[in-house]
Formats: sequence, structure tokens, C-alpha cells
Amino acid sequence: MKSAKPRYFTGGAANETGSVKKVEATRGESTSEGAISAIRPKDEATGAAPPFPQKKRPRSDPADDPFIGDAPISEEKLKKYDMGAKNLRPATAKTKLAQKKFERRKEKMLERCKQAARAEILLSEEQGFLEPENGELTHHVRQREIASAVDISSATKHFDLDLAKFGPYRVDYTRNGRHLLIGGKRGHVAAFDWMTKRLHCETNVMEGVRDVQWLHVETMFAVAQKKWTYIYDNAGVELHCLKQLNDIKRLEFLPYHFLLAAGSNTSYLHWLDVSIGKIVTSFPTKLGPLDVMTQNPSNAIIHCGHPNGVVTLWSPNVKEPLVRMLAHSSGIRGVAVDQTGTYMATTGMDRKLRIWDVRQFKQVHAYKLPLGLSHVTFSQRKVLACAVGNTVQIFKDAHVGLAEAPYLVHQCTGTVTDLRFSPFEDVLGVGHQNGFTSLIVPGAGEPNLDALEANPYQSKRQRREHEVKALLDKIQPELITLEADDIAKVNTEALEAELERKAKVLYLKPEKIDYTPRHRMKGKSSAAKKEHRKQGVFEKHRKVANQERREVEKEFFGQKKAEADKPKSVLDRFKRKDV
Amino acid sequence: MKVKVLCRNPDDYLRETKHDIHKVPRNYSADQHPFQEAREYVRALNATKLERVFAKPFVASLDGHRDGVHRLAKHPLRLSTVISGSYDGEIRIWDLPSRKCLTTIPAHTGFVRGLCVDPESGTSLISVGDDCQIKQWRLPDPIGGNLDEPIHSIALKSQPHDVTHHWKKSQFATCGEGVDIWEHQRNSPIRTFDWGVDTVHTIRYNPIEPDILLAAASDRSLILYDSRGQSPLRKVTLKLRSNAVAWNPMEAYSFTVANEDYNLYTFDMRNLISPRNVHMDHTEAVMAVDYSPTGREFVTGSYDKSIRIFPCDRGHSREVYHTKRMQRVMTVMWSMDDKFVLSGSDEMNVRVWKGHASEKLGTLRPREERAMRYAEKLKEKFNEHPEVKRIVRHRHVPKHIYNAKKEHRTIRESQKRKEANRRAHSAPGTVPFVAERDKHVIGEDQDEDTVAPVGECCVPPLSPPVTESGAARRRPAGRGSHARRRPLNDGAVKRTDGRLDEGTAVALKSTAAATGWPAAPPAGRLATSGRTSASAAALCTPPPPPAFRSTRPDDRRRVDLVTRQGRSSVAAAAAIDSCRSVGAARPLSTDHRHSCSSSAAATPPLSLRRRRRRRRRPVCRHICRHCLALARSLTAAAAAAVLAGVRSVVAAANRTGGGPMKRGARAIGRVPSSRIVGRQWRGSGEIGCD
Repeated sequence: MKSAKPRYFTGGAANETGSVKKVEATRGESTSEGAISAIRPKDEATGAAPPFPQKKRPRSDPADDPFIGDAPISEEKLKKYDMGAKNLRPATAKTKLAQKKFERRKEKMLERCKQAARAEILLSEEQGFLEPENGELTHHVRQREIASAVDISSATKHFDLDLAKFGPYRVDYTRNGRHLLIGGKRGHVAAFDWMTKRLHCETNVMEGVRDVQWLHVETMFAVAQKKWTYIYDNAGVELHCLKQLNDIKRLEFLPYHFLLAAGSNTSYLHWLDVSIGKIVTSFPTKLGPLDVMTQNPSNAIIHCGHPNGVVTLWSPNVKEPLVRMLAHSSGIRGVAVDQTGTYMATTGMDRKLRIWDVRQFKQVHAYKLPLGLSHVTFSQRKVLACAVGNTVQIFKDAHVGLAEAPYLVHQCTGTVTDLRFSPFEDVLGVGHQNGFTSLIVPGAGEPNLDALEANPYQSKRQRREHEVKALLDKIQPELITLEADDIAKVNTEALEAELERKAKVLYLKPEKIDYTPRHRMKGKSSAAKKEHRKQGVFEKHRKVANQERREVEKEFFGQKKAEADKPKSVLDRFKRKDV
Repeated sequence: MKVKVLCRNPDDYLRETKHDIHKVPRNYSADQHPFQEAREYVRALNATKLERVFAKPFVASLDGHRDGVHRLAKHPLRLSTVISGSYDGEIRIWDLPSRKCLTTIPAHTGFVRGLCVDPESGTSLISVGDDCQIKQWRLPDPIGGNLDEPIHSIALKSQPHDVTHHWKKSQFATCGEGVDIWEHQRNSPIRTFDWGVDTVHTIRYNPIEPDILLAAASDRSLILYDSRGQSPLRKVTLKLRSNAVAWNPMEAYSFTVANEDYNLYTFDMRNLISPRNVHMDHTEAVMAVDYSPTGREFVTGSYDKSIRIFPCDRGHSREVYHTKRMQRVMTVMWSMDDKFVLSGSDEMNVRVWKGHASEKLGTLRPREERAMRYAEKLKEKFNEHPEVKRIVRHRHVPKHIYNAKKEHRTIRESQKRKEANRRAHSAPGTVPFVAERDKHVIGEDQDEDTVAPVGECCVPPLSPPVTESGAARRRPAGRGSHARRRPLNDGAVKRTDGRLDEGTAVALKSTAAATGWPAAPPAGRLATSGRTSASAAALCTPPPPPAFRSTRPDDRRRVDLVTRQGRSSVAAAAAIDSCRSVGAARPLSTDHRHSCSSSAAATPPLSLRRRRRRRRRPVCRHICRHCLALARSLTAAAAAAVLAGVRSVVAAANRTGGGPMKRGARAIGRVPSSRIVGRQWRGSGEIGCD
């Protein structure tokens, strides 16, 4: 193993890239020189100096060009960036003008796909991996072996924090993966930049800590304490005490909505808007303590696991679960949803790890794992980590059913109580009974980051600007639906609901009106007059109802046709009316 | 075993010095950008809100005029120069960047009726005024020196109403009693056109096909001329008069007219029978219209004290501008750089507005511009979402506009309902659907016989041929288009079911009595009210019944003669008189709440209190359909006759035109106080309604 020299050793990357840069620079100079020299002879020939040194591209003969036209893009790549442009059918537009406009738009969208696919060449980083050779097994590789094989800076990503006094620990990384927050059950809370190991703050809140959660920036975090939930800044100063969030077991932060979702011990689900500090919704799920909870990062739906083996999906807009699925025959221990919102992993007391397609709510794969199976989490690249007692088992390609053996295994010193992958890094943070362990999991993190979404290298000013922009783009909680792009679709449901409501009008009993005429003086409240007034009101209501009913009838059944053509007989009155 | 762990070199992600820009690596994979649609929606919503927040359209007010501003003219070659003319005959030349008046020219006595700049050289200005003068002024660059003396001035016999300059040649056209084409430095018109109309009150040269002219006349018609030809080309008559016309500077064949019926109509010159678009939103007569240089939008000014901006292919305005102090807008102008809109109104100010209310003035930095374009695109993407739509559409308008709009909506709905009911209870197909744009045009006339040869002062022939061929380009017969089928000079007010209109029948009877013609026996039931019959009589004085007309062509000719020569005034007065007796004899029917312009004279005397009460009642502030029915069936000849008649009754009414028809011109012989603008009543006393 040790002899396996890392071929993709990245420690020297700095020098390498530096040298690459140099080469580029020299190349750039030479081309410009070439351009000038190409012009000069001409000038000498004419004898007149041009007013400005004009850059002229040497025109290449198209016949000489071995690669005519644009470089080809593979279909696969195009498909990756296609958001449905290919399925557009301009022919369906009604008028020719609309068709043309539609066509032009489709062309633009296809062009966008192409451009995005071409821009892939600019992605500089490549994912990590662990490649076995002839019969080696990856799960035999220990963390210290990996650490010793990789470069120094990567090696520092594996570390252990021995905090046996305050455990067990909950863990959270910021969205850019730069900062780490740990909270021990005995009140120990610490926030630090885990890459440089620079400590932001470390306090003991002198109360039980059940969960910790970063908010939208690394200057604020929420801690669910035994009684209430608190918000601290990165110096450990208490900013807010959220008394509405009491007895909270789990916290989740929805970054695009600025919502802090909290599941309580008393089965309450709360959504708190952290930008205005107000509770958005709060209702009881009536399904017991909510200690298994996660969010779907692609649609901001909260997934909860319950002791009866049911997983429920919640949005702040509906007080009933959107979906209730029986996932296991015994209690649920862990739920995780991958970044794209395609797969959900659940673990249960029945020692099963099940992978679900969340879009269809169907199980795609199931694995049997050893006893003690509890927490589960997905990485950005869909690497799955499971806690089994005090070991962590990591699976690759579990979502496609190819995980026959674990990818990596690591044994911690105590029972594992929390698992989080660090975004944009090959690192898994494990909170356990005796502290925190950071594991290197090659191939777990997304190699190429988008600095406008999450930037681990952002400066203070960038962070502030990002915060303002994010606040401007804050999505209202009303837009949380099972399908995140519902807002861009035609609202057929509303129309259907309206039709349904109308259809119901036909079969509704007339509404009962409770009306007692007011007593009036001067003989205006005799029984007859009162009754008269009452009937007037009833009549008015009846008229309105009948009007609506008639309209609906007309809409549904059309104009009533004249009775059959045959002449009406006097005996017709004895016919059954309802036939 | 091979291993690779993600390890980024910070140098690739951090800028080297703080003078560099930050490095921003991008990854366009969809997984990295969740909630794309929802975030775009939020951005679109924010952009829409910000647009409303930044909508501060008012830029400046150019004050200095000592009377209401009647005309604005742009300089075709200089962006910053604007010329305005007012009711007191003063012309002012403004410099827009400094918002200063460069010079003041006491040009005319009375109104400045028209202003135009010679687009070729840009150094001369032509103005026409109520003092029957065409004056040409120097317009040096920069403006300076003594400009008080005109270079050239021509005295006219009659009052000119507008002037427009040819875009290529040194020609200009004036209108008034007919249309005259003038050459610079000549004292007599090189050409004169007439088409049996008494007043042509606005005229414009086409900027692309430079010899084509469009004019609006007070007989409610729009006339196309070719300045090279000898005769007017085509003429189309609308239901009400058009106050202003504007050519689309980008499409040679399309133009927009501002109409008295609160609407604007965009026509295609090639198909005049139905306008391409009807633009509704104003709540009173539209007085002015001008296109943006892009040809995509136009600005309108109205008697309802507001300015609106319409996209030329939309039926409703995208923008409305108003201020507390702005009074009736008489003229508008869109600046040549497409950025500003100018308006001149009754209360002596020229106002400068932005063409796009929320647009940032000045140059934009590239990032700013990109952000704006992005926001624009987002708004476009989500413009159908109810919330976005609501914010985009929301405008605060003054109470009178708000209420009037509400009222018009109610009226339109009730008309629609009525029509639907009628349709539901009639035999299928008998009450056809008529498109909105087909409702406002009465018919097109293409009659070359009426036209005089070049250089002659036209006298229309006594009897224009009223043949079916003369009424060419009519729509196919249909019950809804009966008014259109009838030739314009055809006089009878006839319902398609063969019966005469009730009021008309009485009118005919009385007319017959007045003129000594035998009246045809009215076929319909004659339950009339004095008011309607009187108005009908006034409106329809000469027309004999069809049977009569067909048998006695001489009499028809006499009618035409009477109308053409304006001698019908006596007949009309007599008719009104006789109607008055008819009306007085019958009880006043209360369901006819409208009153036509001439009906007030014929109304049996009511107690003053009752009159006032009726006026306060919120009925028929729109174009009353009773009147429309009458107007529709009116002929040009009859209208002229009425005009003449009305004129004889109303001594005060002059033929200046130009002002909007005050609805109703309520009491004839009594000038409504709101109409008295300085010196005279600018009313034309035409067919109007209350």
C-alpha cells in the first residue's frame, strides 16, 4: 500500500500551476510579437507607417484547417445541461408569428446548453478517488494510510477531537464547507475553521445541547438547547433566544428560504424565518418526538422519520404530511436525501438501509447492515455514510445498487451520533460519544464549486455581498412544494379545483341561513312583518344560490334542449320525472 | 491502490493582490443551482417592484408661456430644440438640456394653430395662426439675434388649422377650408385639394412616403392625399371626429388617429375599412398623438388631463402620466432620441416626461446595463404571473379618471349583456358578433369625381354621384353593418327591418312640413318623445324617405344643393321649430336620458331644477348609443345641414374647430364656462352627446 505512490499527488500543484502560468504568459507574448512582425514587412513595403499598430489575425485557409467548425460536444454532455429545451415543440404554437418566436427561443435555449457544455472545459478540478489494484479491497484501507499517502494539506483533513467529557456530539458544516460547528450534549459548543483549525469560539452553554446548525453565514449559528433554542454569533455571543422553539430535538436550515426548521420533542414542527425573526408556521405532527429529521436540498421539504417506520414529508404550507410512506417495519433511525433530490436513504431498527426514489416514492434498493445501524447521510457525489454502532460504513454507488461491500470503514472510539459530509471536500465529519472525527473519503465532494453559490474562499466583503444578494433572492415559504419548479408551470390544479368546486354546487344542499330580524319600534315588529322581513332575506340568498347553480348547470350540461319533438299529451304528466 | 483526494490550491481561487478582481470560478451544473425557477421568480418580482419604486417620470416643466400651449414641434435635426406655440399667438423656442427658453416670438394674434420646422435645412420654422397668416421664421443654429420678424408671410382668406412640412422637398401643406400645398417663397398655393368638407383641422406628411398626406376633417373623416396628384386619394369616415393624426415613422403605411370618442385607431393605409387596432383607455376626447422614433409606441394627450403611452400593437396603454396641476393636454411630442415625452397643456406649461418612467437617465455602466437587461428579461418571462402582472399594471390615477373608467366599464358590460341577451333570444345568426375594431368606422369613400383639377379652387358639384359603385369597398352585407353599406351621401335614416326610426319618422314628417315635400308615411309605431324626435329632426333634416328619393332625383339633388351650399340652415331651424311643437305636444318620456347637441333647443322648457338634476345623474357620460345610432345613420350631407342649422341657431358657435367637442355642448346658446379659455369658445358645435 505504501509503495503505491500517489500518481495524482496534488501537493505540488501550486508549483505546477505556477509553471503552467509562466508558459502561458510567454506563449502570449510570442503570439503578439508574431502578429506585429506579420504587419511590419507590409508597412516597409508600402513605406507608410500605419497610424495605429493594428492587430491583424493571420487568416488561415479553411482548406488547411483539419478541424472544421466548432469542436463537437458529446450528446451526453448536452443532455446534462439540457433543462428541457429539446422537448419544446414550436409547432404547437397557434400563430405563425408565435411559432417563429418560439423557435427562436428554443434555439437560444439550445445554444445555452451548448455554451454550458463547452464551459465544462474550464472546470479545473477533478474528483478524488480510491482505485484498488488487483484484488485489493478499498474498505481495508485505514484513514491513517490515506493520510500518509496524500499530500500534507490533505492529510491534515483527517483529525480527531477527543472530547469525551462533553459527548456525544452533533456536527454541522457551513454551506461552503469551510467552517465546522460541533455541539456536545453536555453543553460544549465550538465553531472553527476546520481547514486551518482556527477557532472562532468555544463555550459551554451550561445546558444540554441537542442540535447545532449554521445559519446562512458563518457568523451565526443556532443551538437547540434543552429548553429553548438560541442563536449565537461566531464569537459565541448570544444574539437571540428563540422561546418559540422550545424543547427542540433537530434543526435544519433552508438556505434559500432563510427558514430554520425545527422538530420538537413534543412532535411540533416549526419554521422560523431568520431574516425577520418570525415564526412562519408551527403545528403539531402528532407523530411523537421528531428526532429523525432532514431536508430535501432540492425542494426544501422536511423529511421526518418516526418510530412506527413511517417517513413523512412536510411543507410549511400544509398542516398534514404531504406524503406518508411506510419505509420500514420498525422504527426509523436515519433519513438522508441527496443533493439533487432524487434519492432518499432511510435506515431502520430492522437493520435495513433502503434507497428510495423520492420523486416516485418507490424503493429502488435495499441493503442489510449489521446491528446498531442508525444515522445516514449523502455526500454531494452521492457517497453514502452509515453509522453502525461505533463504526462508520461508507458506500459508493449505493443508489444504483452496486454497493456489495463498504467503500470505507472507520471505527470510532464511541457510538456515532451524527454524520455530515463537508461540501466541496472529500471529508466526512463524524460526531460521536467521545468527540469528533474528521474522515477522508476520496471522491465524496464536488470538485468544482460555483463561487456565486458557495465559495469557501470568500473574503469578508464577498460574504457580505453574498448575504445581501441572498436576502434579495429569498424565496417565500409559500413556494415550498414537492416540485421546486412548480412556479414555472401552468397552474392546472387551480383550474381543476375551481371546476370541482363548481361541480359540487349542483349537489349541495342550500345553505341554512340563521337570521333573526332585529326588533324594531313603532309597530314595525309585528309577527307578520318580522316574518316578511325574514323571508325577504331568505329569498335574497336563495336567488344568489340559484343563480350560481343555474350558471353551473348551463356550463356543465349546456342549454337545456327543448323537450322531445313529439307533441305533449295530457297524460304526460303521469310520466316519471326522474327517468 | 491509487488515491486522490480533493485538494485545491488556494492560489487558483484567491486574487494575488487586492488590486485584482476576485476570482469567480463557475460551475453551471444544475445540481449546484437549486430552486432556479423560484429564485428567478423572486428576482422578477423584485425587479417589477423596483421598477414601480423608481417610476418617477416627471423631469421638468418649461414655464414661460402666458397662455395655454396649443402646439409643440420638434426640431428634426437638433435633439435639444423644442418649439411651442400658445393660445395668445406666442412662439417659444426651448433648449431642453438647460430647460430655458431661448427666444420668444410674438408670432400671431390669436391661436398658433400649427408649427413645423423645415426638415431639410432645419433653419426655418413655419407657423400658422388664427390671424389667417402663414409665417416663416428664421431658426439659426445656435438660436440668436432678432427673430421677431418673419422671413416671409402669406395672408390667407380663411383660417388655417394646421401646417406640416414635406420631409424631402421645400413644400409644406396647410389645411383649413380644404388643403393647400405651398412652395417656399411663393405666395399662392401650388395645389389645392377639397373633398366637400368644410374644415380640415389637422394634416400630416408621411415621413417615409414623403408625398402622402393624411388629414382629419370635421365631418369625421380621414382623408389621404398625394401631394403630387390632382385629387385626394381615399377617405374613410369614423363615427366621431378625429382630433389628431400621426404617421408611424417606421412603417410607411400605418398611422394612428386620436379620436373624439376617447379611443385611438391605428390604421393600415391599404385597408382603411377597419382599423388595425383600437386603443382604449382615455376617459375623454384624445387631443394629440405622436409616435416614438422607434415606431413601436406612441404618446397621447387627452382632455381628461392625462398623457398615456401605448404600444402601437396593443389595445391598452402601458403608462399613464398625470399631475395635479396639469390641465387638458392639447399637444404631445416624443423626443427624437426616444427618451422623453413632452406635453403642452391648457395651464401654460410644457412638461417633460421620461418615455420609460423608471429608466435611469445618463449613461449606464456595463454592469448596470447588464443587470437592467437581465431584469427586463425576467419580467418578460414571468409577466403572466398574477402577482407580477398586478404590480406591473398598477397605476394611481386621479379620481375623475378612476371614476370615469369604472363607469365606462359598467356601461360597456351592460351593453355587452344586452347584446348577448338579444342574441340569445333571436334566431341564430341574426345578431352577429361584431369585432370591436369594426364598430367605429362608418365607411370608406373613394370618389374622384368630386375633386377639382390642380390650381382651381374646388367647388364640389351639386350632386355627387350616389351610386353603388361610388360606395365601393363596402363590407359584405350583414345586419350589423347596415350603416356601412349605405353610401355616405345617402340620406335616409332607415332601419334594416324596413321601418323608419321612430324619431326619424317624426323628423321626416316635420321636415316635410318645413320644406314642402310630401312626407312618406312612417311605417313604424310612432311612440316618440319630444327630445329624441327633435334631435332626430335636427340631425336628419333633409333626408327624404328612400322611396321618395328613388323616384324624384331632382329633389334629391335639391337636398344636396341645400346641404352643400349651407342654405339648409333655414330648413333646419324650421325643422327644429316644428319638432318643438311636436315635442311639446307629447309627454316627455323619461327613459330617454340623453340629449343631443341640438336637442336642447328643441326640448320643451323644463324647470331649471329638473334640468340640473338630470345633469347630475351619472348617465351617458360616454358616447351615447342613441346618438351613435343616429350618427351612424347620418349622412355627410345631413351632418353638414345640421351643422349649418345648428350654427344658425347658435350664434356663438364659430367654425374654428380645434377644440374638443364638449360633450353635449349642452345648452345651445349658452357657452359652458369650462370652455371659455381666454378669448373664445373653441367649440365646433357638432354632433355630440351628453
